[in-house]
Amino acid sequence: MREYILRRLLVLPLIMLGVSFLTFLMFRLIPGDVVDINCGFQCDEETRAAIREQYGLNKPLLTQYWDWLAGIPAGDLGSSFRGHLPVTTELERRMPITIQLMIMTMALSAGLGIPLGMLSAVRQGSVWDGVARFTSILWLSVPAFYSGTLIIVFGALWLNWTPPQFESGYVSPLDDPITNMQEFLLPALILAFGSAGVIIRVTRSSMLEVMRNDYIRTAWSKGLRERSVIWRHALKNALIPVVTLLGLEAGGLLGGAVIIESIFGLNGVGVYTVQSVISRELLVVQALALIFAVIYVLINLVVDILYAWLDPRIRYA
Amino acid sequence: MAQEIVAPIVLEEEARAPRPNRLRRALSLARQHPLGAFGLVCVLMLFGAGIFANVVAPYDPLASSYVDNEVGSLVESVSADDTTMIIANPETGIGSVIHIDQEQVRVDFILTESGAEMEVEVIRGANDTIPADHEAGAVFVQPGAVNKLASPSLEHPFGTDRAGRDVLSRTIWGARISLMIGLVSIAVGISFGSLFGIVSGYIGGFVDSSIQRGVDMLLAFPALVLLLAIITVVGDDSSAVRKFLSSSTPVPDGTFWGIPNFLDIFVVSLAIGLAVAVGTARIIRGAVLSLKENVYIEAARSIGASPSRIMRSHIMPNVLALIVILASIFLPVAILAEAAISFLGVGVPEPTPSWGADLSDKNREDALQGYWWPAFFAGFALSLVVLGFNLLGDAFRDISDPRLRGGGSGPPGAGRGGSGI
Repeated sequence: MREYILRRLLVLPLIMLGVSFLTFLMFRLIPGDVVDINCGFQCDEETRAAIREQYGLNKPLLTQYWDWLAGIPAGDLGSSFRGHLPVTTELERRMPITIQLMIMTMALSAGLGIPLGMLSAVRQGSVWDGVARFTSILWLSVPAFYSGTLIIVFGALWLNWTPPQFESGYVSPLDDPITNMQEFLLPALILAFGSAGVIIRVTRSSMLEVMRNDYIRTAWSKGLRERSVIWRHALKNALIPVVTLLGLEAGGLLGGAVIIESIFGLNGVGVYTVQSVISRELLVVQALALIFAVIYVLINLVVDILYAWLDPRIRYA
Repeated sequence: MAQEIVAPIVLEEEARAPRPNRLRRALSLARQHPLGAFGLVCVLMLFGAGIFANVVAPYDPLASSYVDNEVGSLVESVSADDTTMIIANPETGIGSVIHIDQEQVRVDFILTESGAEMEVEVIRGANDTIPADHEAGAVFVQPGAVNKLASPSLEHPFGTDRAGRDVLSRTIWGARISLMIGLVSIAVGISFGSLFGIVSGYIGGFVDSSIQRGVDMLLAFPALVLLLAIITVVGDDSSAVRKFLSSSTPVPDGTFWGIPNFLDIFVVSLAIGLAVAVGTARIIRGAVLSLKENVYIEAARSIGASPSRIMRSHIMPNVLALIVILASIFLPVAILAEAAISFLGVGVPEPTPSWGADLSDKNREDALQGYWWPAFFAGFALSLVVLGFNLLGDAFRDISDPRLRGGGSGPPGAGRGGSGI
């Protein structure tokens, strides 16, 4: 197992390299580049040349790539073209927000989805099953940006309440945990609904399959209590596809919670990514792509390790 | 004698044999799966609204509606010569022409403003109207004012937005936009994706590995970010793709089927189609990998069939069912993707009615002020459509595979409104 983890970690630099080069190429191949966006029609050829000189955009591609790559071990991931905001500072500011949102969303979606899915499977065909199935479809169908908007709008109109971050900005959980919860609970919940909907379905079908197995029947016939059979024997195996799902969710949440971040006024990595993509901040997007790839690989590794823990039959060479 | 009795009985039985009545079968199916029937209704509404938008929508979704706005009332009577008037609850400013009875006056100067009253200096008889005496209480009207943010009424069942556009019409036309973008993107995406998937899966080897590595790297990005990157590359005004489309293809540049800026919309569809193609290629490739092992493929190869013939005549027909399923799953996904990027402002261009765009910042600000209807109905339509597809897909799975009635497994949901998108 240890060798397996080491081997996976060794591939990491290669993947990082590949992704960074791919993004590098992709954004440099666009006809309209940062200079056009910064200038519009106002700059003449001289100013444009000066800007290109300043950012090194006229050096050969490989030189640009190498310059950027060389700065990484020193912790310099580049800066934005507009305003020279270093990527590392922005990330320091924004990462805690997105990470907290991610963790809370995953916890809530697992906490909502798994029990409901289990209930649905164990009481198959009953009212609870129908309710859980309908809830899951409702949750996964209504887009997060709509339910988020509804909650904010009607919260303001009917209850006269706005999320605190619109007035006081982000508050760290170490400073003021209560306000922090007020800021994060609602967006995490809205995001969690969508994933929980899917988790309910997958848990349900997975549980149903596992419960049909012989070893479960053996457990019943041994006279074990329902709680023991379901929780100790069935659930662990049923959770494997759910773990995959949670891994995918984590990857998607990193940059994909953009819309919720922008609706709820949270300045996380998501909005940062989108703004950078739209304004063609090449260096920023490159750095972010790198970070995403690293986190993605790490998440996959964690998921694989969890598989081995959940099902002892899985062993890696 | 026995034969005489048997014959009529047999004939009677034949006459009473149940003739399959399609309508009755459909109705009983609907009764067994009420949620699926509801889903079908929603999907049909989408198609109906989309196809018949120009017939069903009461107003032009891009046109502001105008209304005569009451801008105040006279506090004291004035005679035909008076150039000073005192207006109660005035909603007017210097330079505007307001109507009072048959006369039009132009507000020239504001003398005093106190509380709910404003004393103004006016120019009488503007636009060749005749100055007259007016009684206290006479109402000032500003005709042709933009009817913005009117609350839902009989005239505008869903109200109007901040530009005075009828929200019901915008919602109905939004269906057409979503439908068009959805259908074009899955048509493009699924065809190219299947092509790549079949070739990659069948040929295997180096071609397959390199394509799959490329796909893996693309998929290392969160989906929405990838889509945005594609849009900014492809949708830019000076992009090569756009130039190619406008000059060398019959794709119309202006208005097509009532949709303005059709080229931009087409480009958005292409971008989404690219993302769909990536997902499709992955899935189809997996299916082809297992199809490849069938004996009839080996047989075909051994009698000398070329790879292209095998792919065309043997592999393709067998993945056709999968392709159809993928199309039905990706359609709501494409519609949601378009809503998401329009929400962020980079999807369809400004005045085009799109459900995502109608949920974005400005309408949300208005909603926070109390004008909830522009944002609400757009999002409601979107949710209803996605819900409909999901319910329908579920019902199909239940009907076609009774084993799964206990499972509900398979691809998780037709469209995801959850995290990420």
